[in-house]
This record gives sequence, C-alpha cells and structure tokens, in this order.
Amino acid sequence: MMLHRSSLFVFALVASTLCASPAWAELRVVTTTTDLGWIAHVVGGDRIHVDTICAGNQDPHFLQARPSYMVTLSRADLLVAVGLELEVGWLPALIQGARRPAINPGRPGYLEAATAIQPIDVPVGGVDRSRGDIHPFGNPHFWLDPLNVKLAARAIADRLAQLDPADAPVFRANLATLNGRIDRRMQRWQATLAPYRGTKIASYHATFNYFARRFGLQQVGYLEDRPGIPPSPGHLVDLVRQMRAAHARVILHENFYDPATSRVVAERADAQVLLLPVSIGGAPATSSYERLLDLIVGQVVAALGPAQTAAAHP
Amino acid sequence: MTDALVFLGPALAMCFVLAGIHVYLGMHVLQREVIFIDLSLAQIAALGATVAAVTSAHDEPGGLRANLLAFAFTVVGATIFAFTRRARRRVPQEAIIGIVYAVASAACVLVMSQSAHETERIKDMLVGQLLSVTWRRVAFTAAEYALIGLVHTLIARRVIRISWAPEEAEREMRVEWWDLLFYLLFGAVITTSVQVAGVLLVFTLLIVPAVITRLFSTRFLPRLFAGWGLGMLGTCLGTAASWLWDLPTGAAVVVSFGLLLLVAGAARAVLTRAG
Repeated sequence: MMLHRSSLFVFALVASTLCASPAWAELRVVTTTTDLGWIAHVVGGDRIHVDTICAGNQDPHFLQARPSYMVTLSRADLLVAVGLELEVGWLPALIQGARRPAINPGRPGYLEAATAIQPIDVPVGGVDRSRGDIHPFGNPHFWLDPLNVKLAARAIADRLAQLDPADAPVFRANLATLNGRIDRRMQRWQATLAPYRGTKIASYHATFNYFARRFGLQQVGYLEDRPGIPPSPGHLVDLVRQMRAAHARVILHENFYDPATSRVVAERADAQVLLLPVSIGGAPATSSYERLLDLIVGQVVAALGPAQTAAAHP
Repeated sequence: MTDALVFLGPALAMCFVLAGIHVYLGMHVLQREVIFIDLSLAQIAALGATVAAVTSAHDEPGGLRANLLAFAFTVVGATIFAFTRRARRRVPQEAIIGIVYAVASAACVLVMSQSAHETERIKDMLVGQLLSVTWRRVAFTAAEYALIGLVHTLIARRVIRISWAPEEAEREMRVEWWDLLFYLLFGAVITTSVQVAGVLLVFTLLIVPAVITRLFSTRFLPRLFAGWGLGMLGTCLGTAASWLWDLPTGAAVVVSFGLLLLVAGAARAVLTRAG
C-alpha cells in the first residue's frame, strides 16, 4: 500500500521533471517535506516549479535514496529543508550525490526553513533526555504550528525574491495571500480548541509539541524520544503513571509509526490512541495545510469528547 | 543515458571494485560453511562505529576515528572466529557466528539508547549509501582492496588449503594464526564495503557468485573468473533496473543477483536432465 503510493508519487515526480522543460526561466525548487512543498507552491505560484522528496506518509527522519531524488536535486535552483537536523540521516548524502554546488549548505540555493522560527525544546546545559530532547538544536517538527508556517513562508518568499528579483512583487503578494488564508483559519482552530486549553495529552514522538504549545494542550510525555530506538520498559511504566495522574486521555500517534506500543500504553493508562497524519498528503483529504490542520483539530476534539468532560479535570 | 552514467557511474564502478575481492572471499566462505560470517563481522564493525559516534558528537560516520574503532572491534571478532575453529566438533561454527551477530546487534541498540541524539545518522549504517558514492571514494576503496588483494595473492596457497582441505591443513600448519590473518583481512574488507554498500549487497556479492559457479564447476580459477563476470553482470542489471524504474540501487542489485541465481539453477536442472 505504502510502496504503491510512494511509487506513484515518484512517478509523478519523475514525470514532472521530464515534462516541464525549462523553456522559460522558472525557478526549480525542491523541498524535503510536503508541507514545505505546499508553502513554496503557494508563495512561488506559477513562477516556480516545486518537487518534493519525502511523501507525506513517510517518516522524514529516515529515507531510502532513489536515483530520481538526485536527478531532481541536480537541476534545482533552491533546496528547502526543514533543518534542525531532521534530515541529517539522508539529506547530506543526497546533496553530495546530486553534484550541484548551487544547493550546498551555505549557498543561496540552500535554505533551512527552521532558521525562521524560534525553536522549542532546545536542551539547556546538556541534553535532557527525560523531556525527549533528541535534537541538540531544538525540536525540528515546527510545521504543525500555523504561525511557524507563516514565518517559514516569509523566509521562503525572501529567498525566492533573492534568487529571482524580477518576480519579487509576485512572491510578496502570494505571501500576503498565504498569511490571509492561515489567519482566517487560525481563528476557527483556536476557537474550536479553546475549551480544551490545559488538557493533558501524550504523544508517540515529539512531532506535536509546537501544535500543543500553540493551542494550549499540555504534553505529559512521549513514548519514543529517539526515533528508531524502542522505549525502555521503565520509561513506559513511568509514562503510564504520569498519564493516569494527569488524566491524559489520548496519545497522539504519527501515522507512519507502528501503533502497537502506543496501544499497550493506552490500554494501561485508560486512554485512546489517535492515529494522525503529521504532514500534507499523510492521509486522504489532506491536500492543503488548512485541510491537514482541519483534520488534526477535528480528530483531537472528537477524541477528547465534549469540552465539559475536559473541564471536569482541570 | 549520460545522466545515468553521471549519477550511477560511481556506484557501478564501486560495485565492480567490491565484486573483485568479495567473489574471491565468498568462495572461501562458502567452502568453509561460515556463510553468515560477513553479517556477523559487519555488525561488530557497526558496533564500533556506533560507539565512535556516541562518544563524540562531531564524528562523521565515515571518518577516520569511526573507521579505526570499527576495525578495532573487528579484530576482536576475527580473533573469536579464528580461535573457535577447533570447537567445531562440539559446536558448529555457524552457532558462534549467529550468537556474535545477535549480541553485537543488541549491543548496538543499547549503545544508541545512551546517545541523546543523532541516532538517525547511525541507525541506517548497515543499509549503505551506494548512490552517493564519489569517484574519490571509489579510487580509495580500489587502492585499499588492491593492497589486501596483494596480501591474499601471497598467502593464497595456504588459505586455499585450509578452506578446501581443513583436516590435512590442521596437521601441516598452525591454522589458527592463518585463520586470524584471513579473518582480519576479511574484517578490513567488510568494514569498508558495508559502509558503502550495506550488509545485504555485500552478502550477495560474497555468496551468490560463489554459489552459481559451484553449480557448474569445482575448479578454482574457472570459478573465480566466472564469478567476476557474474558479479559485473548482476551489478549492471541491478543498476539499470534502479535507473529505469527509480528503485533504491542497492536493493535492486541484490534482487538482480537473486534472479541470476534462479536462471542459473534452472539451467543446471536442464543440463542435468539432458546429460
């Protein structure tokens, strides 16, 4: 299923690379994740061509290289990555393989979107593992906070304008459109989640921290703080105890991870596991950022139940 | 087509270099019936590289310190395998190989669990990154293997005797020490190749050509030359498939070798029936 989906995606990627010959001077932008791809697409409009490497239902920590990724990168004018070491496991090798100096780190053709945001979970005085701080420069999963998306969009628009000054007014106008789209929806999301402010939740990996912080949900803990390393039994027992003490009723679980461990913890803690997409394209009907957040917000609210229940456990 | 050569040229060349030494070593491994020894040694090397990465935050996985530590761990593994050969009569050597593999893999997880970050980078060490190989790396690896190949040429007579006539060899010489040398060289080869190509591809290059040629002949040199030919053929087929259908290169090459073996097995069956 997943293989099929991703091969379709790759086919589209190759097809778009082959068909769209650069008869006019459009910028070729490659993004690592679909969320960044969406931002670039909205901001760049018809002045740029966007390709995305990692599908929405793939774990961006790990990616198996394919020839087409390097071919696509070898023709790119701008590579936009999330940064904060999210893609450290595979992107450096891809950049090296692409043999395209213009997109090397440090050059104008390379942008880490996370440089535009204020990272959270930055370890202070050494790395604090109990809070799940696996990334030495902070939590890279910034895109589920809509305000961070606006910041990243501005950074992308600025960089596009630097690479293609003639189209700068277009990028600025598109950026304003994007900000408007997010602002309008933001009010609705905040209104929907407002009654749940202070509600305790747990999550599998630290992907939902920015989301939780923005909308006032409180993280109790994580199942797996280092991607790919199974949690220790003691950690899980602690988590169950904390969840029970805090009356945390849901575990937000990224839908590309195996939910088995989350289900066990949920059962012990009398909570439920909520399988959620965390990137655009990570589930059906998540083709835009608004739709993705609509889905996440809707599912979280449905899982938490009527707001009165939440208020019963202040 | 030129695109294919630009991007896959180094990977293809690297596979040729790897095939050169692995086909020869694979014939020994098959004859000694220590089939999974490369997985075991590779896992020990990975454990060494993991320790390097965890104890120093700024270490590159392919860096000098990581490689040295990986090789140091491999020396321990080679010693274990060389000096347990006489225990064969009580315990099959495959059992020891399996145990070392399992323990080294689990130890890797334990070491990684003590690292606060950067596990992404080392977790996939055994997968290899064939696609991002540079010509420089190909040249370095070719030089290293040429050197090891030279040593092997010098000791070939004794090592072949130990592999093909172990009982006579045990009476004639101190096999443990020759075995130690053999496994040390083997470990050095594997440490490099696994980081480049991943365990699956290294295992395939080692075993499949040796198995296919054994279906048709027992003579050493004809098998070696045929094995080299097969190594290049399988590599070319896999790389081409990887390009045409946009597949992960290492995995495509492994499956191509599997198909080659199927074809060879069918050919053998037809020949047997005809003869």
